Amino acid sequence: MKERIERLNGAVDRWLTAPEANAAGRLGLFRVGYAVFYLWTLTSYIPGYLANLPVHLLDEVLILQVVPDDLPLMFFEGLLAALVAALVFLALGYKTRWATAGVLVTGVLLESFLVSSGFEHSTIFLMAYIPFFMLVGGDWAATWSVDAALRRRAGALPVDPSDTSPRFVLPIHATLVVVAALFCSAGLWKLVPWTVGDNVFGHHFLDTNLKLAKLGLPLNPFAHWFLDVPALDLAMRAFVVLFEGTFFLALISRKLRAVYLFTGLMFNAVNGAFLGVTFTPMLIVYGLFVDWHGLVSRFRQRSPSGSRLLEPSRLLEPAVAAGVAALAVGIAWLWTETRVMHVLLTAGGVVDQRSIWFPLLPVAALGVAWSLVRLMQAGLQRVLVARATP
Amino acid sequence: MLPPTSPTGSASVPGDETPPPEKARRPTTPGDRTRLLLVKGSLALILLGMLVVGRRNGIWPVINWPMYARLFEAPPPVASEMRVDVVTADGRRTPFMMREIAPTGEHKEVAAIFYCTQTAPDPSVRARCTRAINALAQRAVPGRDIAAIEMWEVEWNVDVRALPPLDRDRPDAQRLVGRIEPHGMTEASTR
Repeated sequence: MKERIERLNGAVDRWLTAPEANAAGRLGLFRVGYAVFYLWTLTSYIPGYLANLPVHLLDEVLILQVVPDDLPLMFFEGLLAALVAALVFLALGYKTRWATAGVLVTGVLLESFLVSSGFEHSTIFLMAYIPFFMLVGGDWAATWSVDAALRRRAGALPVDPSDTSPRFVLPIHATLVVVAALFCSAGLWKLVPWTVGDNVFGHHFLDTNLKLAKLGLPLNPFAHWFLDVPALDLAMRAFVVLFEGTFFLALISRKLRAVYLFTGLMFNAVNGAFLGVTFTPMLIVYGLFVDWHGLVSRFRQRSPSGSRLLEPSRLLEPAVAAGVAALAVGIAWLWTETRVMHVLLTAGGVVDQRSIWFPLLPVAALGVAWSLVRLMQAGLQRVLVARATP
Repeated sequence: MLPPTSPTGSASVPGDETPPPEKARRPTTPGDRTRLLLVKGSLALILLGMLVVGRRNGIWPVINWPMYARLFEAPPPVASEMRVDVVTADGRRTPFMMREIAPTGEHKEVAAIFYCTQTAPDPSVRARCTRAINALAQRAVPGRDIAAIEMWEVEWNVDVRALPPLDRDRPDAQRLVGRIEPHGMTEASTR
């Protein structure tokens, strides 16, 4: 028994620490993208709505039981400003561990109020799990960060972007476990009602259109198709339940992981772009599995960029600290007092929770096809090898 | 930011990058061993929490995703919505949709606060709800004096297959649910 547990423990350790291409480099670049994406997500947040709200109307999340009642506007604006400032530190990679902790605490507290008002908008990875796993098990400041540049200046050896030490892969794999568990739970919850019911998507999409029309938002022009063609409704139900309920297979092999992640991206993109069901903060999860460093390196090899200003020999820590702090305070001030940052991040309102999905649709479609072909090739190869073996 | 020191240049797409030929490395440094232990312990607690949490948000962010896991009724022939009208001292009326001032885009919180201003048994809770709705109203009409805040229930006859299924600007019926007249602005609403 003890031996079995040890074997299982060893297998879990090996899975969690299995290498990823350019692990150190990709995690550093992911940190920058994460912070920018988080800031973009916050452009739709309006904390004034939460001011003075009697907590007894919003007490579903237990954390709020320790929060004083009747919080003023200043509290929410301060919380949002602190989150924005922490994200600026994180994007630049200065005092990254503190910045990660700040992002985690302020983000979770802010979101607790919104979740309590009954609104699930898929922010748990952005606001909770990703910063949490980076804090307890990861190091996303080893590359592409001011911290790394300062360490080099102090004489430390630079981290190779292709380093696959556990601290660069643990947060990626831990997040995948939670993603798989949540998708599986979603599939299991749907299993009974969606098996026994009729017109699930037909009614759901028509109802969503009503809500969108009340808000003056773009509608789903295909909603009635699902009511008129029951086979379409049935096929969609079967696909969603099967896809979500079997997501645990993504933990078994890298090829299956690619199939499930691209299918998830496609699923969210179609829902967000056409069907009025935006689950946009989930995008950050898919970004965690992209080798950003490898992609950037291709361009850098062709035209080496001149980031000479941040060469270690030119960095003076007090000046860096003052510069980063001034930038963070400035952006937080702009955020609460003006709309400048909102306009910049959304390109004047063009990039919103819906339109962001449009350019991703072809990427997701190609990815699904490519990953399925790879999976089938691997399966075919196995069959051929098995037949050739006497 | 720090330029990469030795880029490998091998780009890949989500989930399928070919890992380097080496096998998974067992953590060798005390730091890595601690990290692995913390991640495994956290995952065990999170997964256990997910098993017991059900449909509740009580220990958010440890939750399930029972999203849309229900049967949907055919949309009703009549749709209704709560609308808040802010009447300013100059007599102008500004109706607002929650989406413009609240992140959830739903009306139920405003409705709950509004009812609280009228029905909460505790006078201090009623006062707090009044301050909250004042703050929201002031966001809708920044810099103007508010004379009254009205809650209306608005109804539309719906043609569910039409695009759009209702004319947002032309409701078929509306009913005044309640009206409050704030006596001066509170601290929270004077931005």
